[in-house]
Amino acid sequence: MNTRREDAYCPYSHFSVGAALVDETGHVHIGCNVENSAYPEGTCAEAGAIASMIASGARRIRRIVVAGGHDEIETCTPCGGCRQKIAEFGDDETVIVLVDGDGETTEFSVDELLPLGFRLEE
Amino acid sequence: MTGYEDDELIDAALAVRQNAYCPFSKFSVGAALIDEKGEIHVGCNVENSSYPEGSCAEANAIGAMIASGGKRIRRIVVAGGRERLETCTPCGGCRQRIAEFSDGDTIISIIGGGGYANKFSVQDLLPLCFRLEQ
Repeated sequence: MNTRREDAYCPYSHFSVGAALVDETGHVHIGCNVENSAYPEGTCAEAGAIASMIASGARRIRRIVVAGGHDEIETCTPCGGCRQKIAEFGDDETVIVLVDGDGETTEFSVDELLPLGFRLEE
Repeated sequence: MTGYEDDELIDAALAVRQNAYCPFSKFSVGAALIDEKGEIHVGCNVENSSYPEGSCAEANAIGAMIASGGKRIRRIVVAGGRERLETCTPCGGCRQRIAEFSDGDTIISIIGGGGYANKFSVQDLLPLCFRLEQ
C-alpha cells in the first residue's frame, strides 16, 4: 500500500493517499489518488482501488486499508464520497482500516463511518 | 423533531424538489439551507446522461450559498424520494460538502417519508471527518 501511495499523482494538494482492499475472492486491489487540474475531476485512492476490484470481476470489499499524508503518514480518514463508494460494495462484515501518524491501525465498520448511509432502493 | 407545517426551510426544500432533473434515477431531491446571514439557498439534483457528472441537491444549494457570498451553513434540510417522499439521507459526498461549510452548531434535517424532520449534527452523519489541514 505504501508503494501505491508513492505512486500518487497529487501535484495540487501534495497529499498522497494509498488504498488497498481484499475482495470476496481474496484478491488484493490497490489504488492511489489521481488529481487533475480541474480539481473535482480528480479521483481518490479508495475509488481507484474499488474500480480495480470491479474491473477484475469482484463485487464485495472484505477489508480496505487507507493511508495518507503530506510527507509523513497522517491520520487520513476516507472522505464522505469514498465512504459512499465503499458502502456500495461493503456489507456488515466489511472492515475499514485507518492508519494514523504513528502507524497504529484502527478498524471501523461501514456503518460507523457512514451512519444512516444513503441507498437507492431498487 | 421540528414543526413540519410551518417550517420555511422545509417548504423551500419541498418546492425546489419539484424542479429536480432526474430522468435516470427518477429520484428527486430538494435541499434548502439557511446561511450565517439568515439567507435561504436552495438546490435540486441535476442528473446527466454521463451519470457521475450529475450533481446532488445539497451540492447545488451550497453552490448557491457560496456564489451569494454566504460562508456557513446554519441549517440544511434535505427531502427526496421517487414520487412520494422517502427517508433520504445525504450521500457521503454531500456529507463531506456540508462539513466543509459547517461547524458544531450546524443542523442537518432529513425529511422522512412521514413528513417529519430528524435533526443531526455533521458529526452524527460524518464521524471522523476527513479534513485537509492547510
